[in-house]
Amino acid sequence: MRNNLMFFIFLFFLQVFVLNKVLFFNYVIISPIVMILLLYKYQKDSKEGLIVSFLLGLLFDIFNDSLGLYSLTCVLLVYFRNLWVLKIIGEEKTEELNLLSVHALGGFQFFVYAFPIIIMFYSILSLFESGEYLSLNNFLFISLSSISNFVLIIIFQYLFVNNSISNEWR
Amino acid sequence: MRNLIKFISLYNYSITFYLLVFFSSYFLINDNFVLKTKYFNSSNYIIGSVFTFQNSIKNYFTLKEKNLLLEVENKQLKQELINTSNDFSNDSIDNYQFSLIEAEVINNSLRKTKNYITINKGIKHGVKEGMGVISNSGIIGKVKYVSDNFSTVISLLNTSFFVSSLIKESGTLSSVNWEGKDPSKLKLLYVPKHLDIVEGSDVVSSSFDSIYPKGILIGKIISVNREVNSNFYDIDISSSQNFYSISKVYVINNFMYEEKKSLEKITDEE
Repeated sequence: MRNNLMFFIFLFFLQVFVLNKVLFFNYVIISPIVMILLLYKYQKDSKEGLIVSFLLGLLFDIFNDSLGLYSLTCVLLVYFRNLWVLKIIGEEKTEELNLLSVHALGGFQFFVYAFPIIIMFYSILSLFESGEYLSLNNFLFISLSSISNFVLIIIFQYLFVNNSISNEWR
Repeated sequence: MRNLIKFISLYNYSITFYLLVFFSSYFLINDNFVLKTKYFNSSNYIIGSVFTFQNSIKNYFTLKEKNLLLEVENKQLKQELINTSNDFSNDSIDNYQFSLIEAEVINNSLRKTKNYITINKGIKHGVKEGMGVISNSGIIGKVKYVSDNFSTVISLLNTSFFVSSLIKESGTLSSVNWEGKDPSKLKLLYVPKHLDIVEGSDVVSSSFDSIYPKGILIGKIISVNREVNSNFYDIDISSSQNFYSISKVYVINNFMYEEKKSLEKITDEE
């Protein structure tokens, strides 16, 4: 658990100080914050989860000077995630899992679970940041950022999360 | 009241969600965000530092590219400088008397009395025997042999090589030669004793040998010895060029070299 917490803190600061200020190829923003919201343990009707995501987003807004943008996005995302994960995996299995990672769910199920949430994250960001939705630039931003972020999430999990889980189990 | 409490406890998850959405929307809409204080803006400083660091790493990897650009620019400027200081009524680049061929030193001997340098440019690049070779710091030597891709250069650190020179301040004509001892020291020859020579004066090329343009630095006078049995001073100069660290050099192509030499030859024969 401590390993996961350290990992999430690392991801948070990575996004705050570095990744959020870098626009790759003019269209791609990498957001490890989505990974934090996607991976952490599901608990049914957990107010704590919502509040933590709100505070996380708020903290991010403070560093990013983005006026509630990330706090709103994070709250919506977690709310949607909690509904979506039940649809995809089912309540019983979900509550057993410590982390909703690719190792726990399997590749395909993780894709079905994570990808729409990532798209939602970038859509909300794009909607509030640019003020317009139906434009080619926004479409490219959402799709390219979502794909890049999904790939990065998979890579990160194989590099870090797997080890931390195996260590805990030992 | 009890029903209200019951309702809240039943739907506390959704109520929390709506409350949080309300707060976040409020922050989003309201420009006067209460937490937007000077303290939090200081995060910009941290982010700025990260970017400075990131930029310095990026700059390091582009150094080679920048260095190449600077070398090209340096060559052009040097060429223009040489030609403007040796102005022969030329008012355009086409009329320049000298052009430079950039080359890299690939071998450099220093321990012998007759040292040679090898450069990576040859006939293919326009290098010919007898051309002068200079660097950014001063005179390097003269091209001895040329192959298709390489040339050997008689280094200034060669006891049989003499360069026609001038003392910059007085305009006194002289010659520079290496004694074969210290690579940083050269000898200034044939300066008559009746002239006043000041230590610290610059010694430059004279252009009389048609190899080098006038005014290319050779060194600086460091000691003047009058107490010798000769009509000339014994003068030591410190070489402007550190021969231990030569990398880039320029071969000088004098377009008027052949014309001048053939004219002088005819005159000599008469």
